[in-house]
Amino acid sequence: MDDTTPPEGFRGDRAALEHVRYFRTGTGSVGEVAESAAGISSLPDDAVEITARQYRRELAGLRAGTERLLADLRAQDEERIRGDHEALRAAGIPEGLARRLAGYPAGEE
Amino acid sequence: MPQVCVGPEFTVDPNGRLRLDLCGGPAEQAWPYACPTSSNPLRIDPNCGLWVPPYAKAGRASASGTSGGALVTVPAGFTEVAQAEIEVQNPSDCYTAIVVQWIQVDVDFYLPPGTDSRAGFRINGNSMMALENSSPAGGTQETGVHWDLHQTLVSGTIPAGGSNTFTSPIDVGSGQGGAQYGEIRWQMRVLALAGL
Repeated sequence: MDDTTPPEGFRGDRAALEHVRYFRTGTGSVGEVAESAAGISSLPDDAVEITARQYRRELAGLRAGTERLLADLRAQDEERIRGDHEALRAAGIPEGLARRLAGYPAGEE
Repeated sequence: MPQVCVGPEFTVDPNGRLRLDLCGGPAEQAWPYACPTSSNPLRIDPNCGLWVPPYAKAGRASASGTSGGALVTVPAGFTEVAQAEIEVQNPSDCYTAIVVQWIQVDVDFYLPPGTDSRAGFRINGNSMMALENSSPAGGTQETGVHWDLHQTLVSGTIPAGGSNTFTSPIDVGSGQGGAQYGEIRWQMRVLALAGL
């Protein structure tokens, strides 16, 4: 993504905004502010201005962290579902019902 | 007996008739008279130039911002997490501008199952959305769910020749059950109408 490309998930006429600044806040979040004329908006109070390259690198890192977290949660879900399914089968519950009770999404092994 | 006063813009022609002299095309410059407030008076300057009051003007401006990236727990009470802000110049030196603001906000939420997790956000104190994941333990994770919502405000004004900064706080809150928020995106589009 170059400096004039609107961020993913937010389109409209934003691409016409020519003046873009990037920042990092005290919590480690990163962000950008884009303006139709320079200086008509402002950065958060605790923001430190960073370069576009830093912004993209740090945002990618933060998003990757979120993805890892979500992948862990999904893995835990899958493990619990598998365990439930095995326990139900061991208790003599038929396969189709055991899958439904354990919460296998339709069509998944 | 009534008296009639005649200024230098009137002359008497060779037939003795009173004529109004007007000169077209006075130099282009700022309106040299008081700005009209309730009428549309024509003016004749000392050099017999004819003036009409300044015409209406419109201006527009946009600003947008994003912030976030790391997941943060949604607080129970509404808490400001970002602020949409834009400074708008009145396009007219003569008339007060009325301002229409479109404030667009989008927040990514992460709602775990099994805990009746909830989250919401406000624009300018107005609750725009309340989300809930009511699925039981083992149910669906709601990851990165978001709505792109608009608040429209029409109450703003800008004095003639001036500028005004319009801000809208963005709050997240109503959090419970381990709900988290991620990226926050906002955009403000503003239309200023002066002399209409």
